[in-house]
Amino acid sequence: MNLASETSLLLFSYVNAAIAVGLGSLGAALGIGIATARGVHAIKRQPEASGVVTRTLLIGIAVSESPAIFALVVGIILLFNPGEAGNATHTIALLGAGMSIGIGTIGSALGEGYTAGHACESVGRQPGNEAITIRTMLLGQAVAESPAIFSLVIAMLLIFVNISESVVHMAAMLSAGLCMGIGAVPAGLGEGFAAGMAAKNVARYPKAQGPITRTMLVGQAVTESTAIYCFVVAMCLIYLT
Amino acid sequence: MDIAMTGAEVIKTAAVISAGFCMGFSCLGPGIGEGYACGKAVEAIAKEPSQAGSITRTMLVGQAVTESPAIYALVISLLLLFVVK
Repeated sequence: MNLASETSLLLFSYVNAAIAVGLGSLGAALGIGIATARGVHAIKRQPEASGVVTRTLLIGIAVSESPAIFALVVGIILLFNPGEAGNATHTIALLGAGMSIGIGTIGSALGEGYTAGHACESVGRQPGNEAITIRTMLLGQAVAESPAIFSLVIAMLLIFVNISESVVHMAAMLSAGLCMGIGAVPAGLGEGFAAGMAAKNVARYPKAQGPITRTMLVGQAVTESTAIYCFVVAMCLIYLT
Repeated sequence: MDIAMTGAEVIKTAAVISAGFCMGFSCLGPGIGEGYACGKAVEAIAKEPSQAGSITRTMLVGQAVTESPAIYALVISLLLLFVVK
């Protein structure tokens, strides 16, 4: 089979878009499901707090939706940008882009959904501490978003990379996409767990807000380093092979 | 395209594929583990804010040790990329 013929370019563009959007929406769907389940549970326990819980839930799931939106954007680009005919390396680079954004957004979206769920539960228990809980939740979710942003950057680089045709480059492009995609999952999950614990405890112990936020950010920065290693290796694979 | 490869190209192809897989999969443990440690430290500090210093210190020491598999993988990946010929 000729990888760079018109037909296989079209075939690859459909498969790439499906990988990007299909895998990319997996994490968001699971995360939003977890968040909503905890929100519903909180409303069942404290029906009088349903207004604040619903508000926190909507803000939290809007943020945890965003990795899926990244995947959708990349999926649309991949669907309508089948690559140049005759360059099989670029075809494989587009496949790598789809894998990077598809797998890479699962962890961030799940982690952010977990954070939103804990924030909803604790806002239901302490409706008076709504403001600081939402602030901590958003701060933690913003950091947990960063692995998805790394995946987005690598996917965009792979889409617009200008590369000559060779089997080594082909392998490097696919490997870069997989490396960033798989490496972003645990960082997003771990940071989301840390942010969830912070959102849960800041509502319960509002006096400790300063040390809680500080420790959360320090710990998340260390957790981020694994995603940064993957980013560095993916960049080396794209540009230095 | 031409699939015929020389021996050096085969080795280089295998090296770049294994570099990506090595780095990607080795992050699975450290990423989740460090996040879990951070979450539990946050929980502990919320209950005992006066112990914030020692809790943060312990968290950082634990995370540094948890980090080491990822650093091993980074070293191996860079060796595979730039040293294997």
